[in-house]
Amino acid sequence: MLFVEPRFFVFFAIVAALYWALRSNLPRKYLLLGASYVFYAAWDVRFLSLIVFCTALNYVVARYFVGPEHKRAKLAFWAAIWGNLAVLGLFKYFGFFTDSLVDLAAAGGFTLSHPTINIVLPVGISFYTFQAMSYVIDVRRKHIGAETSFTNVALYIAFFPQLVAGPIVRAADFLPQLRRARVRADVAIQPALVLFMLGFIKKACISDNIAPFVDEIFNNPAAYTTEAVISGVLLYGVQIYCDFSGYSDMAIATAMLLGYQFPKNFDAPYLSPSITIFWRRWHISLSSWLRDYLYIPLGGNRLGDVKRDRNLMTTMVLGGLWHGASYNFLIWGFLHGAALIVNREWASRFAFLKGKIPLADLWGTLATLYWVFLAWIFFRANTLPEAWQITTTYVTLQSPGTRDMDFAAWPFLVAFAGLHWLGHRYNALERVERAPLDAFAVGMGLTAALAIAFLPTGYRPFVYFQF
Amino acid sequence: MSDEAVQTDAKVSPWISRQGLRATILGLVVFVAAALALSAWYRSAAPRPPIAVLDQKLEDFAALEVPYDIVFLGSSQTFRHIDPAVIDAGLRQCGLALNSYNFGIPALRQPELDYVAQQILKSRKGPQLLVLQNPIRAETVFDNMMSPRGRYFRGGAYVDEALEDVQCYTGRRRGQARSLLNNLRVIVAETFALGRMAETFVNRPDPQLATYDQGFRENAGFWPVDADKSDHVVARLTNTPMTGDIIADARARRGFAPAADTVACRVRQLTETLSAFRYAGTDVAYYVSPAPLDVVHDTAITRAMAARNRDVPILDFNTPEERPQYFDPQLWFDNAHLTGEGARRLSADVAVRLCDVMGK
Repeated sequence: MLFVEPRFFVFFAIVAALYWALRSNLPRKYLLLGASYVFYAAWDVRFLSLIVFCTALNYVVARYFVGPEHKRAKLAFWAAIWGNLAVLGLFKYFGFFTDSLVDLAAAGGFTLSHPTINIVLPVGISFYTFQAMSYVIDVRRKHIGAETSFTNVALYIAFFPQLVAGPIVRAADFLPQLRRARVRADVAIQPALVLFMLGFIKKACISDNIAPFVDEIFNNPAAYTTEAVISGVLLYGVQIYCDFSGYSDMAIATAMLLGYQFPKNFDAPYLSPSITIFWRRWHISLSSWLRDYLYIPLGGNRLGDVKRDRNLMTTMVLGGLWHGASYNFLIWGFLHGAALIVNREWASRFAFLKGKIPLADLWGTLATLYWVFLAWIFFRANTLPEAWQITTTYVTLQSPGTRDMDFAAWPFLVAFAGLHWLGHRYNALERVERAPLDAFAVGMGLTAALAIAFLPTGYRPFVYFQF
Repeated sequence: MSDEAVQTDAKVSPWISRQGLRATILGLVVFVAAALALSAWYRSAAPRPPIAVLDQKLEDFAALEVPYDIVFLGSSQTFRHIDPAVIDAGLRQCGLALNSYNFGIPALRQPELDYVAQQILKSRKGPQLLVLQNPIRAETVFDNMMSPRGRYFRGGAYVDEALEDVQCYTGRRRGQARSLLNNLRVIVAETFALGRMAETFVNRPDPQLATYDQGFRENAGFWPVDADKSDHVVARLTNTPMTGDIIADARARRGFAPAADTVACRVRQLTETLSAFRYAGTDVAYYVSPAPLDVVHDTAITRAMAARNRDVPILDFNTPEERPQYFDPQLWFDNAHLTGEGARRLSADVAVRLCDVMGK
């Protein structure tokens, strides 16, 4: 069930009506939990048991072992962490590791057969296992107390707006919200509607419309001209941003309409003047998760420059592998890790240049964009050889192909960049939210009609559902 | 149970304020009005999408200098079964020097039939005799309806006709319900201009035109199905083959009989189409193709047609008792279309029947 599908609107209308009709908090939470499981079952009912298992494991360990400082708290804690990682590893990385092992054996002159087991990837598994782990870790660190209510933990892990593609919500942010009944009068309806509409437009009207052109280029890069290949790379950057941030916007708005607050997940990342700032603005809930639960525990920047660089690289490579088990994601993570290290070095060695380079932010933004889009090539390409082919064209501006793209990519990209900048610079969302009610209604009506007209027929799943 | 069970939404407020209600209604009105305007704009700016075979036949028909005397109008069972050259030769044998044309269009349904009928009538090249075949039942498959052709005939002025076609669905009730649901989905999509701006400015739609061998353009609209080597036509050999069971059921008259109300509805539609031609001074006849899958079904409609239109000649070839020669698997390309040889034999028989009808 996608946020842009009519059946989601019917589903949400029913859930929201029933939710606000109930007066007490507990029945509301039961309703939300049931609705969340229905939402997930619409993808694949078989994997509901996996969510329930994850919930039970983390609830029991936090509640009865870690929280009350049980004598086996440490053991139980690591059992929970490894339990979560085992679920993730089995479903997400099993195929990758067995294939790699077979390839390695073949390189060494041994023949191993591929396992016949074919494991299906449950949608959203990376998101809810990370949420579950952060809960146990936070309890262990005493940032939060162990939750006594199983319903609360279950809803924290399975709450449908963020269940399948985030944002990765922290228990410390969400569990307190579950303890009190949300008040309908406090719901900021206008901002929620604007945010949902914005997300809908990004996902359905922009991302889904340019996806076929991107697919064409990435499926056969050698056939296209340099301009077409570079356009394809840039369009993919727009596609994935609109797809994922659009999903996040709709998720946040949906939660808002039920009275809950989620953290911001994107903040105009393509306007970042450095790669470090980019990672403070892109998929914020994941990057902050990696920072708090991986980078800092590894030592962060407290152990000197060399270990800081090692920690950065480790974090980014593992962050790449979080997206999926492939060398492409590994390289993507490596490229970002390398860029972060270079950025840190630059900042420390050339600090004296700060404020002396004219238009430094603009050059920084352009350099960041160049590198981020280069890394997207590995993120999107079907195979490593195709990634190299596209990267070669991107870097050398040479392509053997002769075919042009059947889309006016450059005017679109310029318009997108302009709107992106204007929207961020002048805080367009807040202005719309503050509009008089009648003008707001007329604007929403017109925008909705236009959005539907720009909606391509046939739905594409969100890119991040595969993660 | 924890104490939170008794916590309630303390600030009880009305479901929606008066201002909020007004704004909601205003927003909905603006949304609907804007969507309708967009849809109307799109349909006027981008009229009927291309339709394979129909476009070529309309073009050929418009280029005529001398109108055809007889036009056969129907679905692929007209397109693939009626050979005008054989018909004309047969008519000559009974002293009628007439020329005929095959206006069969694959997958023709009632709203499209009405469209084609209007084009023929508007051309003022109407024939002396129009031979009409019952078109295919209303579509049930959503994806087919969402093709450019499907959407066109479910929007604007065609909404009524699309819904009437569902009402006159002479299949099973379950199929009718599915057809209604999917038609409504597509009608809503078209009314609200779903994706039309995207098609105009970004992704031009694939017209999803099935390609056909163009031999029909040199043969007065006819081209036998086994001479057409288009992929989707050849695929029918394996996807929808004729079987001994189908023939056996047809011979034994086993099959689905449509409900009386849908038959009456369908007959009313057909009668209206025939009346339009009669009003223009054209004689009409009703033709029923051999169709082993639909013997019982067709018989119910044919009887009702005969009862309602006593002065309209009926050319019924879907009768295993009277015309057993067509219930031979060897004559069938797939389960719905005769081979070229089958079409030749049928056309010769149709010509004989036409000689009777035309008083020779």
